Amino acid sequence: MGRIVGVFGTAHIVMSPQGVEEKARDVFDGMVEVGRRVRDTKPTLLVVITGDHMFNINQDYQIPICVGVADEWTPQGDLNTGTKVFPGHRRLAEAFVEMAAERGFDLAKSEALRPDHGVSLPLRFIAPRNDIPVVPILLNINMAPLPKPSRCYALGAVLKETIESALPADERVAVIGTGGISHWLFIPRMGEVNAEFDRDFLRKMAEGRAEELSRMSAAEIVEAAGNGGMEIVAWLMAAATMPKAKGKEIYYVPVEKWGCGMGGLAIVP
Amino acid sequence: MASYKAERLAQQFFKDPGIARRFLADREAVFDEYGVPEHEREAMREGTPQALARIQLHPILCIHFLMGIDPGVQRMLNGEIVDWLEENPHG
Repeated sequence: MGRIVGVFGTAHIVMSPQGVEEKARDVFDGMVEVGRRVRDTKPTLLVVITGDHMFNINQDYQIPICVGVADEWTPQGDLNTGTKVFPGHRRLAEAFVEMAAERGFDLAKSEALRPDHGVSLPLRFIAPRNDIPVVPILLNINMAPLPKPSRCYALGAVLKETIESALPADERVAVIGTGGISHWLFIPRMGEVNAEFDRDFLRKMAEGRAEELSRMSAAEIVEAAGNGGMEIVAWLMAAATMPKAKGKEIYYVPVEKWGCGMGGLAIVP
Repeated sequence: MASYKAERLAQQFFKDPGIARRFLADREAVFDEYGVPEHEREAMREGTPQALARIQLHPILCIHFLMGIDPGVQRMLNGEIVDWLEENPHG
């Protein structure tokens, strides 16, 4: 059986450091530290869960959840993250979609999605040589109905079951949920950061309380953390692959100028 | 929310850089091509976050659209992280 060697969460965007050099440096350092900790687990395979930013899932086809099944990926290259190809992992991706169908989740598959910064920016510091296969999982947090956090958590449990049943014993899988914590994007309150919510979220995640967090409704998350704050469902889904495991906050920086609470977390047994 | 016609145009701005170039050169031709209603054209001509909020263009598509037409937004979002990571690839 495949082994889950770590669960990680990290923000997946950085903006201009101009005027916030010190905070930007703290974010950069935090992201690099998350990358180092992922590599310390010696993963042979990465699962990266993120919200799509309407580069792949847009108004044409409003897909709730999409699993990338291809053998290789060409990133979108948005936010100057580059378009260097990295490998996929068809075996796990296909097995996950099959297992999910058995467990009551009908997931979309894609051979052609172009991973955006939600995947490609974290990979720049996790696997800078693009030498570790990646299964990208895109959650549609941008369109109604928003994904229920509890459903995302439950789907994470299916991912755990798949990794542990469909992969050979020498596969070491790191599961990474990416996204900012509180941020309001082009809606009222844009520019606010709810540091109290963010810190509470990180603390509970580090205490192994992701399941408890997943009992929040999507509406409660949007109220407390903004529409962008829905990205935490990716973290919750990742955490479900290592239920109740305790971890450590790696960084937290409320960057008001970027309008985002930036955080990182590592859960390594 | 904004019409699908306006959002279909906005969501092309990153995928097809040619759209942004054509839009900046001849907005009306691009509006015609996508069939964007007049009241939404007005907001998209104005091209400010406030105007786009007025027609309720999807928040994420506001970013796509503004990145296509506003070099300031591009600079803000295309931070220096990539260059920084190139210089410090392993932390």
